[in-house]
Order: sequence, then C-alpha cells, then structure tokens
Amino acid sequence: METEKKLEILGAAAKYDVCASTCGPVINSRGRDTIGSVTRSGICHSFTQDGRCVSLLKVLLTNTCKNNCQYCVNRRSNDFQRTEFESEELAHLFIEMYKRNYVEGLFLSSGVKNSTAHTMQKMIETVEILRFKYRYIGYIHLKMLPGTSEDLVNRAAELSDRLSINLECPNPDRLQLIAKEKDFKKDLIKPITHAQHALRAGKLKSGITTQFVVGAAKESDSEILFTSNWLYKQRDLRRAYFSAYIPLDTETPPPLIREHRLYQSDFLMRFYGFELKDFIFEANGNLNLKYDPKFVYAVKNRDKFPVEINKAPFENLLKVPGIGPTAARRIYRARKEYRFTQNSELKNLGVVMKRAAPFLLINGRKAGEFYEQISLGEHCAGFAA
Amino acid sequence: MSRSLSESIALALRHNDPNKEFIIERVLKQAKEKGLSYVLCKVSPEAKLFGNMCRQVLNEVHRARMFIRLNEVKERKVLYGEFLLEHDTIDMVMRHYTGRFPQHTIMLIIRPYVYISRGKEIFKEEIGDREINLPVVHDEFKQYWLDFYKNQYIPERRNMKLFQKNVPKKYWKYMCEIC
Ligand code: SF4
Repeated sequence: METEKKLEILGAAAKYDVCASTCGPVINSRGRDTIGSVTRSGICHSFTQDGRCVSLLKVLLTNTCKNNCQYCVNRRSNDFQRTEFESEELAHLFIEMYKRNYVEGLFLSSGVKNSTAHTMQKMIETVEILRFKYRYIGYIHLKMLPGTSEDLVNRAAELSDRLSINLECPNPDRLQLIAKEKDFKKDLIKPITHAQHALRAGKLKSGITTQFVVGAAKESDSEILFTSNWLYKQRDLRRAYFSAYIPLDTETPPPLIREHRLYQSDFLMRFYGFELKDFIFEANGNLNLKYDPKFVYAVKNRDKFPVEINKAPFENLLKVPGIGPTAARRIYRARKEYRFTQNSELKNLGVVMKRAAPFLLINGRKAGEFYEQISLGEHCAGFAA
Repeated sequence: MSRSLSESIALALRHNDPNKEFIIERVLKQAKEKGLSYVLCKVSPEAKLFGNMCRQVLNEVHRARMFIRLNEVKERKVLYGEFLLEHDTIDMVMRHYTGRFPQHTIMLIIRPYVYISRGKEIFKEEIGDREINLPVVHDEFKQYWLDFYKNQYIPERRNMKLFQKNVPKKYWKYMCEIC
C-alpha cells in the first residue's frame, strides 16, 4: 500500500486521541548538528473545522489489533482495511512534514499486533530512527500499549518527551464492561507506575498523560474525577484528557457539555486549589450541566462569600467565579502597593466582572448583588464517590 | 506578569500603533506615581492598553511559528515561505526558524521584503509584489498534509466559531490546507 493511503487510514484512526500538547523544556538546534526544537508554550499548526488544534502528526503504527475493545474502531471484530507503517517509512514521512512546518512533533500510537512487546519495539524503533538517523531533537509523544513492560517503558521514556496510556474508564468494573481483555491494574496502571519511576529518574521531560472516554461505560463524572485526582496525587500524572464517546452504532452519545464540565473541574483541581470534596455532584454522580462547577461551588458555599478583594488570601481569590489564576496573581501583586476601589480596575486586569461581582467586596463596598433566586436543580448533593 | 517593565517597553515599541510612544509615556508616569505593579498588573486603562500591545506582538510571533508553511529547495538546503507580519517582529520569527533548522537557509517573504538567513545574519531585500522564481519541486508531502488535515476533522464535533477564532481570516491565504 502507498504511504499516502496508509497515512489516510492510520491518521484518521488516531484522531480520537486528544492530547495535542507540545510544550516542554526549551531546546533548539542552534550550533548543533541536529534538527528541531521544543518551545515552552507549545505550538498548534492548524485547526480543523471542529475547532481542535492540529499540532502533532498523530498516527498509529498499525490499526491491526488483537484486542476487541467495544468503543474502538480498531477492534478485532471490526471488518475494515488494516495496514501498517514501516518504521523508516514513518520516520521519513514525519521529518519531511516537520521541515515544512506542518506539524510540531510526532504522536505515535498503535493497535496491538501480535503482542504488546512486538508492537512497542517497532514503535521504539521508529523513534530511534528519528533521534539517531535524522538527528531530530523536537517533540515526541509515545503511547504505551496495555501491559508494556518496565524495560520498554524505560527505553520509551529515554527517547520521547511524553508518555501516555489511555485508561478510558475510571475503574476495573467499568473497564470490564467495554474492554474485557484488559486488566485495569496490570495492563494500564502498572505501565503508568513504570513511567512515574522514569519521570522521577529524570528520563521523561514532558510527563505522563491519560485519556478517559466519557460516557462509554455509563460511568459518572465523580468516578472519573476520583481516578484522575488519584493519578495526579499518586502517579505524578501531568494531565488527564476527556473525550466524549462517539457511539459506533445507534446509541445516543453523551452531551458534549459533560466533557466540558470535566475539563473545567480538572482545571480547578490543577490550577485553582480545588479538592475533590469541593465539587458538587447531582444524584447520578454527574456535574451540573447548566452551571459550571466553580459557580456551583460558590453558590453552595455562600457563607464563604463575598470576599474582600484588598484582603482575601490568594487561595480564596481563586475560588471566586470570574477570577482565574492570572487575574488572581495580578490582584495579589498590585494590592501590595495599591488599594482597589473600582470595579473597572478589576475588569482592566482581567477579572470577568459579570461573573465575579456578586462574590466580591471592593474596599468594603459590594461589587454586585448576590444571586438570591438561583436554583441549581433539585438533586445537587455533595461528593458521592 | 513576570516580564519586567523594560522588557515590556521593548515589546510595545515593536507594535505598529502610531500612539505607542504616548501610551508608554503615560504608563511610565503611572509607574512613578502608583508603583510598578499598578502598571504591570494592568490596573488602569492605559496599562491595559500597554499590556495588550505586548500581547499582540507576542501573539504575532506565535502565529508566525504556527501558520507559516515552508517549501524546500532540496539541492540548495533552502526552506522558504510567505506570511503577514504587522509589527516589527521579523527578527523574533527568524530566530525561531534558524534555531529549528540550522542546516538550512531560511527565506521568509514578508511583503514588500524578503528576509534571508545566512549563518547568524539576516539579509533583507525589497521585492514589492514581485514573485520570486524558485525551482518548483514536486512535493508529495504537501498532498500528504492536505489529506492528513482533512482526516483529522470529527464531523460530530463541528464548531466553526471556534475554528474561526483560532485561525484569523487574514492568515488563511498562507495556509495551504485552508485557502
Ligand atoms: S487495545 Fe487499543 S487499539 Fe486495540 S481495540 Fe483496544 S483500544 Fe483499540
């Protein structure tokens, strides 16, 4: 099969993997006999009509797979065209696309052909060609296949910037419903543990990530956030991604807003000092679809508001809807030399006053009226996982 | 926010706003009267304007890193492309590409000029609207890219508003997959 056709098939098969980050410690080829660089902020090279960024050459090495995960187009029982890149073919293709500034790095995943060890070896071989033959020092994100051994994880960590493995489901029970051949602990958590050791040994520059498919196993948001929180705390996870399940048959897909609410909650945990116990879940364990989780928190904890902008501790500023980490840092820094008196001053420095005003006092004065009438829905309860 | 005032001024001076010196003068006065943080944290409208100028300059550099499409003249080891820069950012853009591809000569057409890297130096020549005749290479990789880009789209998630926000229209003509 021609390279063009392979790229068409193996590129399309990888598009549901969400991670598009390309940031890492700054490195460039100036004064060296190499090609490539990594920037601190990460670079997207294009955007598709769904608004998602295209930054990496995201491909599978092969779409042949011995497993039969129910949510996956590459599953064994799916009757469609299978193909595979040769390592040199893929490395060459990538480097030519990189030189044309189409992509910022390589994202290499794969179905499991023959065995995990066999396929993982071939993926590593591709990266070795890039690193040693083409002398490429730019960004590479390598997927760990289910059950990857410690040796192979270590080698993969030495060669790439980021490693990931998709949990897809938050716990063994849910995984059993849609991927019977995978063992949650042995096949998925263990490779993450190996990668964590490599990370702590300084081998991995841009950390470990994972992805959950939202709504495939009837799991709840509280289950997903419970597991991602555990991974952040116990496995040094850099980031969890969420992808709303797109049914392969006539099932109803989960609402896209659910994925959005999970991202909001995830950001609150990573950058706003929110703990799992701070989230308010509905009776079914899901987040409120109508209001964002930070707003729900503020309304449910109205005894903690309003906060005085000139005095509130930094962590309390971060809990105010409409104040992000950048605005909170600016407020914290500016008020060391200056006393805020006007709503407009906060607007200038980046506070979304329409959202924040009901929760703020500015120099003793209410910045806006609190919501007396708001109804979050009948079923709002505390954290239930 | 960790940028110093002098770094911010250096960035703002690259902006194409004819009033930039006036705005810089105003924020310097405010910094003297109300403190450095007052300005760097954008508390006043002028400080916000000043901060926005810095942001727009950096955004332009970032977009030039994202959206320039390069062609290769293999036998001469030249990578060339065309783009639009509205602020005085060409040195920052060239530094990115020369740091990424040091074995190549980088040639960027930013009309009415063409900028060419040679070693550590950058040469500039006025070309106006003239086409530059470079050897036309049959490039199968462009076709690969167009196909790959097309295949990354997930129709179930169509969101044109987000797409247009991420790729301002003024850059479309430089991006082969969009124009
Ligand atoms: S192991 Fe991976 S590629 Fe294979 S069917 Fe499962 S999810 Fe798909």
